[in-house]
Amino acid sequence: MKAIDLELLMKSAIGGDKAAYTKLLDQLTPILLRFISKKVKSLDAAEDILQEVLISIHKARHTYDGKRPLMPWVYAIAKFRLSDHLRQLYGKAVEVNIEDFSDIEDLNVTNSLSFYESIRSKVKNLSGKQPIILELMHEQGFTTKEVAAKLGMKESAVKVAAHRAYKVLRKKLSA
Amino acid sequence: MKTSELIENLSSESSTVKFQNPAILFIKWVALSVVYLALMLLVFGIRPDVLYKLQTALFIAELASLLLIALTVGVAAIILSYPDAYQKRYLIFLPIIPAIAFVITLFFEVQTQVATPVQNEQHMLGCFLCICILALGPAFLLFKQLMQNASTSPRLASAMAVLAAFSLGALTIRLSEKVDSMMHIIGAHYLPLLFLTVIGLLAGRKLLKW
Repeated sequence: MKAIDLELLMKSAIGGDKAAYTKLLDQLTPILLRFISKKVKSLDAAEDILQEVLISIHKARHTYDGKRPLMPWVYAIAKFRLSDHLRQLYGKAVEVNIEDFSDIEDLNVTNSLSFYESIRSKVKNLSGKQPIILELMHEQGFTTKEVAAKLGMKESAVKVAAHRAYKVLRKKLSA
Repeated sequence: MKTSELIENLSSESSTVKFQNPAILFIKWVALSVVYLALMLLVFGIRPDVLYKLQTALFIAELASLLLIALTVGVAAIILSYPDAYQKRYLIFLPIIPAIAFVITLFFEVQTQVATPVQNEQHMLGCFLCICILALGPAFLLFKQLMQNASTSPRLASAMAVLAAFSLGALTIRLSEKVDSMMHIIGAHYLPLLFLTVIGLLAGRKLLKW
């Protein structure tokens, strides 16, 4: 569908035409999803952001001037909500909730040993106590409780450090 | 919720909406602010030597450039309250010209006073509070309009709104207070403007959340 058709639909929508509004949002959905997916790999996250963008378009529709092109207005909203999402994601990476990582203790250390061997050099380059924590957990098979006791740390601190290390490693490996 | 369900819900909620033209928002803001400031000027009183001062080129240049800053920054704030900056983002750079003129004027005013020093009664905090009271009306009016829109640059829009409102406050106090010491005017009137603009910038995301 051409941009001009979308503008016509938007004009009808702000005039109260519900069918035109449904059609407009339906037409915008794949365009926005493509735009969001360029920055967000997870399909679920992209879908969440898409819904946020659609709600924002709905809330802000009174700020669209029918005499101007629609797509710069739509993309400005999409970009704003996408930045919001990425900012929140970054914030969460700093404020880690330990309840979310209770499964770390149950990791199958033996199976991960061979994989650990292949990424040993990258582990060594991690900062602070992260390399020793991963080494104790994945090479020597200690539990987080035992690692905590060995290093004089709280168990939760070990879990958080391990989680952060995994994130850094994931980033390095996918780069 | 599936996206298709959301679209259905949004469509069923939709009704006719009226577009708010930025020019009309700006005119409304200016008109109401002028009324408020005129009333406040009556309360605070006009400086007794206002007619004499209005014949001084540097004083007029200072007020004119400050007024232009307030107006252009007001335009920028309103433009920034539209998601796409009304597709006229270049307007946010308008305040640069009067800002340069303002700084040059202040420089010449300071130079003049170095040659012939002026002694005035000075009350730093009092001036600052007066400017805050004077700026309250324009700030309230402008933020009310910005909050009804949907800014995708909330920090910048908020900073601009604070600067616009407090510039009007600072301008009005120059017409009310018989103080001409430039050191005092810069220190107690104009520097706090910058400080408050930074606060506006920091609070923007919360103030203009939508």
